[in-house]
Amino acid sequence: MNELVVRTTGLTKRYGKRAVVDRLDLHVERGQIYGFLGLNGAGKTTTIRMLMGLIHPSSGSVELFGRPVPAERMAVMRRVGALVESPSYYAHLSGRENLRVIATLLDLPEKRIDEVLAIVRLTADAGRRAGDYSLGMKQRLGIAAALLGSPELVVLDEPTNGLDPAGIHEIRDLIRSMPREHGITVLVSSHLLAEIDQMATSVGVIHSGRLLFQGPIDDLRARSRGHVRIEVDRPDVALPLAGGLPLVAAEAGALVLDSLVPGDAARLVSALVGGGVAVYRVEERKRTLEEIFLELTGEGAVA
Amino acid sequence: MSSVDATRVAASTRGATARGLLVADWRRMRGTWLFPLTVLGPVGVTLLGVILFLLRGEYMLKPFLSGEKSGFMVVTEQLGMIHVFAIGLGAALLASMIVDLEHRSETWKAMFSLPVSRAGTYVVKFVWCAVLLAASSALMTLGYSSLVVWQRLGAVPWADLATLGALVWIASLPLLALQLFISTALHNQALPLTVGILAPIFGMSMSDLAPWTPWTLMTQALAYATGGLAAGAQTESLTGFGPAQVCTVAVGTTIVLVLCGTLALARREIR
Repeated sequence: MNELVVRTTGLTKRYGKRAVVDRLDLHVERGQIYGFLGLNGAGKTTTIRMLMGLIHPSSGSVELFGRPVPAERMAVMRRVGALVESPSYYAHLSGRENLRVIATLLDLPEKRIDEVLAIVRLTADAGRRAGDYSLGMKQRLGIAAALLGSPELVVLDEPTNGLDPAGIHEIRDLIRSMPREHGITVLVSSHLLAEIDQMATSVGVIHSGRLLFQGPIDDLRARSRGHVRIEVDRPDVALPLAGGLPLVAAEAGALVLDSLVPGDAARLVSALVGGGVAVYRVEERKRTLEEIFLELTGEGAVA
Repeated sequence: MSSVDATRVAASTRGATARGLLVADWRRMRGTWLFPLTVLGPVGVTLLGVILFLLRGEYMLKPFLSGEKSGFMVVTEQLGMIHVFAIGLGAALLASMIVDLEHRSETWKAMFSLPVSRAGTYVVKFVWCAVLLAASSALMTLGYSSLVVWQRLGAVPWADLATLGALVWIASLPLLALQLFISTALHNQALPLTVGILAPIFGMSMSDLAPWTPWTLMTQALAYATGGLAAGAQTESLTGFGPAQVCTVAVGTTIVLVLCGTLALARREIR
């Protein structure tokens, strides 16, 4: 296994009796783009705040690069860049001056400011007041700030929130290029599965504070085995004819089967027709990631 | 690539330095009202002095012309209390503005996601406010001296003016520490500002209040520096702190209050 850049153990945050984050074991490996997926209010931001040492866990622990946070926060944070929730900026300062404040704190040269401005394509607007920026520009300024210290780990909390499609596309490309071009590990949170699907290599699905799934996004996709749905006029007659096949359910007017090899499908249809059952429609339905996500979170809600 | 890694490792354990924190705050304050306010305060008090002299200069100058009072006494009698009040108000406004900058832009979370010490950040903000108040106090001294020159009140009493400015400044530090504590703890600045404006009005003139409170301490400093007259020493309110007492109490209270504020910020949940 690769080096774990982020590792939480039983991470829990309670407000009163309610556990906003519940025994989370997050594992982010070096070089991954880890998509942290969950609905609004699932506990994503609270988790990220604990990763950054901004709030203290009720129990459990956080390790970044194998060092405990917040205990060794000062030593570790030089290697981390973060955009926590909404972008933070001084409205009265220009984009460049905002970055200069951080560059001063991190003791970075002016050249680095030019570099990150170029990366997020804000060079032309660097002199304007950040308060007058559009939402997309503010978001990009926040990402520039996260990249400023040449971090090894970038944590982006809902970086595409409130952006238009073009802006989303741009930021997605930027995130995808980070591991490749700069060797950066990325942890990106979102409530949109489609977005995570398009950039993440690994996913963690959080719901009501619990981690429901964690692993390669392909494993999540593998759950989307297809179903074959056969609409018939008399399911009660059809049911015995499908004997021996992986039957999932017989609903009103239809048989639902686990994915069939083509030969089985042909044999079943011919058996149905031979048995006097009218077959209206045979369709294969692949579950989308969206459905898997909803199923996961549905389970989570029930549990 | 290996050289990049090497610089990363070398830089990895280094947090923001004290110089970095100081300069970063200076960069943040540019374009805000913190610097103009520092100048406007003493200019305003001096202009008030000008107006007073224009309106009732003859009356005010009488004791000087008769040799009863020195030029220093004449100007401080009129402006001493206003000067002290202005510095107290300035402390509240500066403290509020320097942290509201972070409250409003929600930059605490961004800043403390960097290798930036919370304690260092707080202390540096206190230091900046103290420096700005010192600048205001120095300008106030210049304001007094310009009135002395303008009204031909004799040689400029630099030593007395410097003592007044410095002692009132030192006595204002506990108030500054208190205001910074409240302003940092609360997101909404309405309460800290209300306290900052009202408390000096009552506190500085309250005779029942112990002399070591942040508000009465400033009156004590004024009373000593002006020989008691300007602060109304005729009343029994003043127990008469000497400069050593003012400094000791000011430094002691300030350290305690800054420490409280530092701890509060260090333990705070940043949301």
